Amino acid sequence: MDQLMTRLLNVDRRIIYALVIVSLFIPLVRPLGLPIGLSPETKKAYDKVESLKAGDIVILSPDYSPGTEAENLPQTMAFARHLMKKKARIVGLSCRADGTMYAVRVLTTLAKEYGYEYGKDYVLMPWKAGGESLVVAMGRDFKATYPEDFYGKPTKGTLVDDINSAKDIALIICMVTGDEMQWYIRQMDAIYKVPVTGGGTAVTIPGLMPYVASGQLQGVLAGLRGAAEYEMLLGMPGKAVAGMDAQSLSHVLVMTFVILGNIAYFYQKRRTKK
Amino acid sequence: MSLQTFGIWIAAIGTIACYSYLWKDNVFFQAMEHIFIGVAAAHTVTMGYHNIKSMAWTPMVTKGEWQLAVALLLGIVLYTRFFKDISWISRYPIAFMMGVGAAVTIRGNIEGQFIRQIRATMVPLTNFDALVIWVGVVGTITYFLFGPISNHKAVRNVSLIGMWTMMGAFGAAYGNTVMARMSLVIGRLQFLFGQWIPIIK
Repeated sequence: MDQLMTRLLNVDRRIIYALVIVSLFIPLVRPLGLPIGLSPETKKAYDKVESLKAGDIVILSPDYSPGTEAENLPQTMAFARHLMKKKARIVGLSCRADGTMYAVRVLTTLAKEYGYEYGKDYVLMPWKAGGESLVVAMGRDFKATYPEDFYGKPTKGTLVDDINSAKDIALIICMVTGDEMQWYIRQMDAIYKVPVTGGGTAVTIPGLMPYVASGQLQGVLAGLRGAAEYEMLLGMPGKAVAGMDAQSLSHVLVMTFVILGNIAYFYQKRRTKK
Repeated sequence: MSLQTFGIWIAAIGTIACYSYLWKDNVFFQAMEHIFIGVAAAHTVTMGYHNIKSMAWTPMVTKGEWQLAVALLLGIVLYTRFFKDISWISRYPIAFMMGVGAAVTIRGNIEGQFIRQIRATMVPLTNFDALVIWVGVVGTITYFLFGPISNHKAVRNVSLIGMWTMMGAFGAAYGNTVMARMSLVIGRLQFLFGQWIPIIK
């Protein structure tokens, strides 16, 4: 028994890596069909987008880098699909230099599917430096902040003409891996009362939950799981749903490791005391 | 071989090279690490160049907005921090950025970070969730303000509640971190065995 407990405390980490990879790989190849619940935060975000009317102007802001694409891109796709189903007019922009390409990729791909016309139904804005100051400038005068679109053409004559003040923006949807959601909450929701929703990597969710609880954030998608829940609500299961079985199995594995590690630790502690 | 297929192969080789670190540190991982840093830096420099050109240079020379020269000059002066004798000059643009940044954002900060959040904790104690929030907030503030080493036993006990509240919050944060990391690996596996070697349907 002592030998077993000592072994448990000193397992080669490569064995753990191998077990984790296997627990992730098997459900991807052979789905288990585990049920996916629905969190109230995802439902709140869905209901907010569902309440939009045709023609409402929405900012879709993918503020993440390729490192968190696995979590944030399915969220962006799900939100964009929902917006296009609701016939909302979309302004794609990003506060991150490497986030703009996701706005371009998602909107240009889905535009073909939903028959969206560039300029009339959706526009893409270039990245501009400034961080939170950029969001302040957007709120004060959106047209002056973005005189040209992503392709260098004037925004005059596009749907940007209808953004005369921040209050003309019906909703901001922001996918984040950092602080960008808080920027929108502080500078658009707090000052101009523009509602904000979106999704974050699972790491950012504990920091965003106080804003959901206070009503400053209209729901939030928690990582890949949130994206999967949203896809189920849309009735369009995609990559996020496909990854849920793997996530569940890997979590069971990690919990097993934690429990076994604690058993071994407390056993050793007791033996040492004796 | 099309450009897209070539791109998929490069991404797959890069992914496997990065994950090879799990076995042990090796030259393939180090090479990929350096390539990633180089590509990320090059992308940032390119975006920065286009930003300066579109936001400052082009309006200056085509529309006569010469006041933007001040911003350009401040930006250039930032680089003096790399020269020991004149690095003191870079404090001015840094101070300018900090001052303007703080001034511009403070209005939203006070409303969004303080007033709304404080208001959200002032909830009627009519359900269990509200009680947990109230106890957690009071306990955590007591912990940081008065500390667990106070002379009064009551204050120490309240601080202890705050400490356990924070430990619960950190545990939840850790659980979310595990979920996030697993999601990233799932994304990579979906790419490797969905696009590179199509096993996943």
